[in-house]
Amino acid sequence: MTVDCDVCIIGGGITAALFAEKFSELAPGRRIIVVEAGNRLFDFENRTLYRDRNLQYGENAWPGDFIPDQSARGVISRTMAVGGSAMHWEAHANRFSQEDLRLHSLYGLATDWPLEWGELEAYYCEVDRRIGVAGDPSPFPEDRRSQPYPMPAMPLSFSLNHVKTWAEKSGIPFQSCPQAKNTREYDGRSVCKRCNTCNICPTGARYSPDFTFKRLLEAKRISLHDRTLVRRLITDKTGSRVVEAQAVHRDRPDEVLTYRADTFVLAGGYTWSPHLLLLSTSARFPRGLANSSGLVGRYMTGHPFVTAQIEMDGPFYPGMNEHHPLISRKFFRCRPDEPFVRHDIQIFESTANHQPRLRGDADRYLFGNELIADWRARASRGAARVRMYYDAHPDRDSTLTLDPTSKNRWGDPLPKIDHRFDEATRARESATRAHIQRIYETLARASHARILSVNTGGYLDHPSGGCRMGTDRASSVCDSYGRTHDHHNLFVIGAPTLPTGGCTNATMTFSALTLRSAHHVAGSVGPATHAR
Amino acid sequence: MNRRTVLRGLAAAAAALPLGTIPLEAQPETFIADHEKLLKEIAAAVLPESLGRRGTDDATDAFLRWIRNYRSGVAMDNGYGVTHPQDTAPLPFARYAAQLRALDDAARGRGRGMEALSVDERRVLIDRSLREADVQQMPVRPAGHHIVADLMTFYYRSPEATDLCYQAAIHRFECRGLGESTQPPSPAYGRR
Repeated sequence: MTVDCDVCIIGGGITAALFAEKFSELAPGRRIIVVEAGNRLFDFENRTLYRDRNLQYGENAWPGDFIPDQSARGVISRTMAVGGSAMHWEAHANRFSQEDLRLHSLYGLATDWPLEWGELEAYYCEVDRRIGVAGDPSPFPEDRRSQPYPMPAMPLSFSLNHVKTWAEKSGIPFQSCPQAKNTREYDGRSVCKRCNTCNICPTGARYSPDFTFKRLLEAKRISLHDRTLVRRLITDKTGSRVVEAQAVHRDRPDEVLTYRADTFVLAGGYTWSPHLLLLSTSARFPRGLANSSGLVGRYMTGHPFVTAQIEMDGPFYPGMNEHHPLISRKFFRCRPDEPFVRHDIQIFESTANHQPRLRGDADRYLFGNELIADWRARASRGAARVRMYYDAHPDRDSTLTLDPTSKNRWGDPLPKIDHRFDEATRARESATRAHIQRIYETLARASHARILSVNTGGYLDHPSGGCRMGTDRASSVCDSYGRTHDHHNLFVIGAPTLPTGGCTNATMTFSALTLRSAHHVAGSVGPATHAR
Repeated sequence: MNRRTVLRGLAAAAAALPLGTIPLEAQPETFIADHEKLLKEIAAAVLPESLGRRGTDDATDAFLRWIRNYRSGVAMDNGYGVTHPQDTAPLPFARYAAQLRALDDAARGRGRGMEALSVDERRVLIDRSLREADVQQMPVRPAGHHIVADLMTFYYRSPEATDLCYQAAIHRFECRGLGESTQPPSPAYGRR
């Protein structure tokens, strides 16, 4: 079966949702099809039940959100569904900073991004409006915004307010972390009720892309082909233009689906967009599409992190708001004449060392009131989880490759991701860790605090890269709008295009870049040609 | 929404679960019928005395409802940072039953059934049973290692137990107003 459209968006996560929404506003009447391998999880009415099953039994709160034989080694989320990972995100709506775009100019590190901060900042504001972000202005003038947040910040819970008082004794300012959660009714969704399970919000107060998709579908502004896996992109004879996406429906595995479009937009995230390009080999393109630079699947990035559990005078009352942190952006900037280190600091309430236990200090079992007394004595103090994402830059050999030892049911090799930092990052690693440790110790000087543990994350959070943007086609895959250098009607949007991964949550950055791409694509496509 | 409300809701909704075709276990009913009485005698020794017998019985009933509504073979959490999804394992009813049988035998070995033993006498038997099973820590939720440890985990990990510990109506995982969360929880815990 062959399906014709103007724009074929491959992948159905948050960037697909926002691209489709904006593009359909700017170019009404265009036929837009979103093709997603996973299921649509639109049964909002069951979300309370799923949440309860998750709390009671640890069952997946998003049943059916992954495809068992379609995974990748090295991914940190197997979610493949309409809405993607943003179905279960905690909606921390932080921005990068200007420094992320000028790492080479300012510090001689990594590379600069091929766009200006002021332009990106305007799109950050647009994302704020579209998904609904609640936040307070940053205390740092460098974080100035061109538009206010659409909603006032999430208030600090009783416990988090105490944590803030403690943390600011260090001299580091903290504020309520901006969140894509409603502090008032917004965009037809209710106000947050702090149910304490933001990974599955039962009220709809937290933004997730299913809301956007449902609205677009109801207005017939897009078509959504879920459970449909795109396996190859095909170019015309010149190789400059993609003409087809070949796909298969998971319920009709023997039938080849062909999507023909004027414009193809890869919105499969850091794993599946570069993967599809690498799969799309031909005699003319033996290394896959968009890969004349050889950089598809390279410079895979993200940010490493360190987490400490710190106990201090209390008591606090954990459990009213565990998904809303404080944030400090104090260390987003680094003076060029000082050793390079950039990171955020996020502090959450915690129950570390304040959990009930079966065995006491005397190595005997505790029962009944004695167990409660033991628990109560330890819980008389407060605790906080202090996490820092720090800036680390990818090596060229930080890769996503096709793994011949792992294939899906159609025989396609699946991706394998091996992160590797560049030499400068590796050289400063011990100094970075020492800097972070000093901050923990500074925090721990107040309120009789003590550091319970310090742990390094075992993966890179908010991963990105694999199709990095740039102005030089020899050192990048696409331009700043995501248009691939090799194929003028093929775009990559969101996470894969990032040259470097920043040092704070990245969804807002993926989304802002996506809106910028949508604006550009809408302005550059020709008239709709529905008759083929 | 408290644990009991949740469980009541789950029981009512079980028939209409849009969660696939995995049936609820058949074994729980037999297990519950055979062991409910003994479990309640054990609960009276391992759960807080401050609950009173009625409270420990209620907590045991909630645990048995949890068992009744448990489903094996269901995908577990697959969220951010979870790269190796697993399915829920079957509840080990044979192990549970053997552990309870051994406890019952030990009680009868003292010439009386569990119900006739004092709390301290029961705890001696339970302590020995937990040691034999090498139970070390309290998991996040019942893990099938030992029936008594699972009963204790079920209760002590509950929002009600958190409220008892903090002597405050925190009502963890209950939805609340934004403004309410900025205030300290009421000291009137245990009331709804």
